[in-house]
Amino acid sequence: MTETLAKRTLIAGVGSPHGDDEIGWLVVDELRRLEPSWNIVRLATPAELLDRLEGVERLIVCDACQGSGPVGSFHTWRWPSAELMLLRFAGTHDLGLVAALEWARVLGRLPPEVLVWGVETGPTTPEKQTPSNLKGLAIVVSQAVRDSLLG
Amino acid sequence: MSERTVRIEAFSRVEGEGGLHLTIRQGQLHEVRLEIFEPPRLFEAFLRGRKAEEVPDIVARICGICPVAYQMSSVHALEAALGIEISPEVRRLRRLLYCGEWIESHALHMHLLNAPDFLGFESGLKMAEFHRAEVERGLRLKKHGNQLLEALGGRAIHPVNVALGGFHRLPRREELAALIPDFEWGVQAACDVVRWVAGFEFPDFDGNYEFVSLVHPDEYPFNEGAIASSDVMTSVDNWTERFEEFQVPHSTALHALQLGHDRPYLVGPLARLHFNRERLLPAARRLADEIGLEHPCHNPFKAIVARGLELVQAYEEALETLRQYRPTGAARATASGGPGVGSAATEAPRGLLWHRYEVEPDGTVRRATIVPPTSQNQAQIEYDLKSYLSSLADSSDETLAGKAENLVRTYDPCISCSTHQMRVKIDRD
Repeated sequence: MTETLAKRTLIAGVGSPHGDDEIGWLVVDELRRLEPSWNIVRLATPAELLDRLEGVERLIVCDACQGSGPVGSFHTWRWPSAELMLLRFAGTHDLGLVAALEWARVLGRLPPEVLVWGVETGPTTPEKQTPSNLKGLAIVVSQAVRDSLLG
Repeated sequence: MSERTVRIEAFSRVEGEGGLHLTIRQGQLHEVRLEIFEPPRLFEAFLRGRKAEEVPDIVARICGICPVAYQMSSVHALEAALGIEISPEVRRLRRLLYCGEWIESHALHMHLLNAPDFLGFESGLKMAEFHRAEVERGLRLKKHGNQLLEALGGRAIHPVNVALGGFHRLPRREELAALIPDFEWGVQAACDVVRWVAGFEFPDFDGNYEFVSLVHPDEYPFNEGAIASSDVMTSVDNWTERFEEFQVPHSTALHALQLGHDRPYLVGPLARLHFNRERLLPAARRLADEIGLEHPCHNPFKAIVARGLELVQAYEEALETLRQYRPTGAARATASGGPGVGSAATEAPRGLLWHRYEVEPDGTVRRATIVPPTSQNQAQIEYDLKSYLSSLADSSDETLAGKAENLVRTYDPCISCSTHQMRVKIDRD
């Protein structure tokens, strides 16, 4: 990825501290460790994306989801995608990821290229400790995201 | 007997989950049931045995839209129980925190939840395709509220800075001063919002309300005052002598009634404005006169205008506080421990929120009572639905359900708080 494109690419991990819902944060934390110069943010809610899209030409979002396959599997969708509408993106509050992206489209803020990385998770439980296998999964997913961006 | 049932299985654009069941017999609206079917959340039970200082952070989780209201009612009730006096600086900052919550909650409800009903759109998203500037303005106003909550409360959803006796940490002057330019724009934008919604076409409906709200001699109410109704002023300590909660079979949220009255009562922006219009700050008061909002106003569809005036009020007060803020005193007064009993009522965006706590000698909670505004409004909503829909009983199920949803949204119900979205069912033969 060229330096210019890196600056115009926003990589956002959506998550919370609650159990498997933390996966979005863990993936972008690992990506930041690998590529400290990339434009990477942790978001508590997908709605926060609406304020982060100015000047962004490519958006990469990673979030937990349910209904895409076996727990621990991960998948990529290019927006717009009918399949995305059928999935439940795990969140603890506020607009879901698909709704937030739709709001960004209606408000003219959505960048030309949007890629969603969904990681299939189990139930999210408040106060549940992050499972150690989730951290391992985050390393695998972050590597896949990085490989896809570096071509 | 001719009978049909109309059900709204799940209300949209309200906070939480509930439904509506309408029964029509021989062309007459026979029964209206606002069905709140979410399981009880049991906060009052699991507060028992917790330390008093844990309570504000626990009750904040009752709602993601109005956590500050729960924090404010709980700290003031517990401070009353424990004999803690807060400083004038803390008092003003708590009003500022409440301004943040009113701004984010009112801006969201007016622009994305309620305005689509008046403009003929099925959702805020559809409305945004035709009224993008208004929606962008609403989102910007909501963001200001969230930014204020972050600066003073530590974070926008479920703030963490409220403590018994004050705050865990007072913000630095520059943290609050950084918000001033946005709030200067916000006062004017909020005035534009009021002029916009005042121009909507409102259904002709008079609820002839028994209003209930806090009143305070010197200010528009947030955290202090007596409870006013048409015939009496009641101290917050005497809520149970004047009001009573009771269970109905079709709702997991308790209803409430005013003792000695044979009809329900209404809390929220219309009630607050009814008792406190003369205590609005200058810009809000001038605007109320400019748009010619009748006083008293008993039309629930015009609650969006009252909410708008409160949006201006909150911006005006917040801006004044932001400009004058110079941290000087201690962040908090110290607690002396239990035992004690204390009550407090504050004005959540949706109306009066009453808390009462009994504290043990070791500082743990023996008993907690929480009476949310939407829970108090349930009976009034059913009463209004019956009046409003009675002349429409011959309409199609779709029309009835649509009119019912429009009316319900005017109260900005927070069913999650009361215990929690909606379904409408209409029975008819």
